Amino acid sequence: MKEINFNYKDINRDILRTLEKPGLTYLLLVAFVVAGVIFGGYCWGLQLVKGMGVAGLNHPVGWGVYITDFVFWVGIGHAGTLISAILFLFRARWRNAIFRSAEAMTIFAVMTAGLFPVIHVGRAWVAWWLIPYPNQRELWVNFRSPLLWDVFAVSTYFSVSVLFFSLGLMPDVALIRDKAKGLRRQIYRFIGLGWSGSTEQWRHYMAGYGFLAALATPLVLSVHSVVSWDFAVSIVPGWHSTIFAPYFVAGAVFSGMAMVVTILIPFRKIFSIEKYLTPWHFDNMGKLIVLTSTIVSYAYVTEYFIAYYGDDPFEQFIFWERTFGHYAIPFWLMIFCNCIIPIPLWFTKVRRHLPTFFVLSLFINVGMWFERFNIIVSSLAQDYDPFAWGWYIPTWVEMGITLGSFCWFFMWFLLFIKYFPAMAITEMKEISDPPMKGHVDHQMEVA
Amino acid sequence: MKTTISGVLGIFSHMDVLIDAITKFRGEGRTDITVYTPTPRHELAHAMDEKVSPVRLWTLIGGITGCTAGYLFTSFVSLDWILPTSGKAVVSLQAYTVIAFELTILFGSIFTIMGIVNHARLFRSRTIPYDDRFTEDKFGIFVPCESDAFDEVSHSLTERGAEEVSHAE
Repeated sequence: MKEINFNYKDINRDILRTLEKPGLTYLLLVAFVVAGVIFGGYCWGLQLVKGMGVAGLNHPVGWGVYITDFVFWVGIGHAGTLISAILFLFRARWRNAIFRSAEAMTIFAVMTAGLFPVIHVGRAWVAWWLIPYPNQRELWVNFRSPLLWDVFAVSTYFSVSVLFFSLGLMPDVALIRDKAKGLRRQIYRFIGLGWSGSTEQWRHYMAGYGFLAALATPLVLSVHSVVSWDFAVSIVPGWHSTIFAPYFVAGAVFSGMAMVVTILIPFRKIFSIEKYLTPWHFDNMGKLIVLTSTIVSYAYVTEYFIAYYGDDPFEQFIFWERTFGHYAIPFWLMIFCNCIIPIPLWFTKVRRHLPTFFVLSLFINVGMWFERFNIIVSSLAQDYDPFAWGWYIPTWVEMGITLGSFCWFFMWFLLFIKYFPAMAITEMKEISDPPMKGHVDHQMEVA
Repeated sequence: MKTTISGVLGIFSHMDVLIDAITKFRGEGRTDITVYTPTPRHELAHAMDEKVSPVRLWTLIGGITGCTAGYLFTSFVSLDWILPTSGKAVVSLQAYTVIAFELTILFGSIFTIMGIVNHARLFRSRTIPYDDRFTEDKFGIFVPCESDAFDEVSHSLTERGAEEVSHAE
């Protein structure tokens, strides 16, 4: 395969080079995102000091940008597990170059998502009440509530993603350890957990890795299903729908894949690793984006059809209002970015033209954020009783925290790629030809 | 690095040569050799005649533990302080299935990692020699033997394609 034209030495040299002293572009990016994090922190601090009044949340819209951000970031994390676990089980060879970055993205996205329930509850110092423990009266949390299911789903997702990621990283950390000197070697020796690469270790490692992939696969499908039930289990018009679970999962993979593309296209350029991240990889990611965009578009149509066919006036009203009412702009942005923008990706030439693909991926990220906003806010603003209607407009504090969350996410990613290989060295070697003295027919038989 | 098992370590550059050497050693009844490789390959697993890893049992036990704990925990606390809501059953097994499912995955994963740590002997100091190049692009075979057999084993390794050999006492 012409996309896999490297040997063990090339892989070691080129990928470990990304851990060397950073260039100016990298430092500028870090400075920019750290400034964004500081600004986001300032906005949150303002909310903590002055109270929730600085946010636009009020009756009837009690869930606004913070819950939009939460759902968006949990969704972003889905591509990582899809690529690392599901594509691993399918033995998709193109995954090997991108899964490490996608997995790291999953962890940082869930870390970002995890901030929002804490920010949203206002009194962040009592956010630990979400944890299932009996209070002073020995009263436990309500396990029938989808909000509590969410606590379990997201925390399990984060824990399993960290375990899966750390396990995959171990052989590469051992490689860095073996090439490092001094204190750096001591640190990587500690993180490497005594990995030596004996066939006995590989035997247990590969078995465990396969099982973790098998466990992570239903988990990734469950997490956004559970997130969707936060809405679907209620009786709010526009939320109470049985299609929410697959609709949310497809949307999550859609947005997550777009974010992987957004990150990897500049990454390959900045670190000169075009040889390893080729248009072939982006072509395959583009196909997944096309598939999930189609599923999401189909879900939008189905929602409208069921509202019409179900003959429920409240349901019909909310979908009419979404399209032509107060929140029509977020709705049409969502349709434009999620249904229209991905259409060019049906063509191979567009999928392989990376500047174009990068721009399209930015639009998809924007579209998926507005999808969450559209679902959450429009339904709450106009439910059953017209006397209880009210409009929600995010304040600069909420948007500042949102901006800060993007910077927080990118900050972790930028730090990660300087201390750990953002491409899995061991798995890149798996798909390349091993060093052979004679011509032996072993090459294609990778583990 | 300090090691506790004496023997000879051979370093190889080519995988086909390594596989031939493994086959010959195992043909002589040497099933105690240790092979190092930068990346897992099926050819090596076949040459070593590897058995199925017992890690799967850890996964199974973890999964069963998590599932049981999920149902028992939620049911127990619901009965501990009865909180009727909307005429729903006090012990709502359908609702608790979500918690049980998540704990199945969580415990299954944690137990899997514990299985790997235990069987792959992580967190433990090395007892046999190792070379830093094994994680990079070299392969290795360590043959345990007493010091009086060093020359004979070194000769076997060199004859079978090892480019370097070193003794560990």
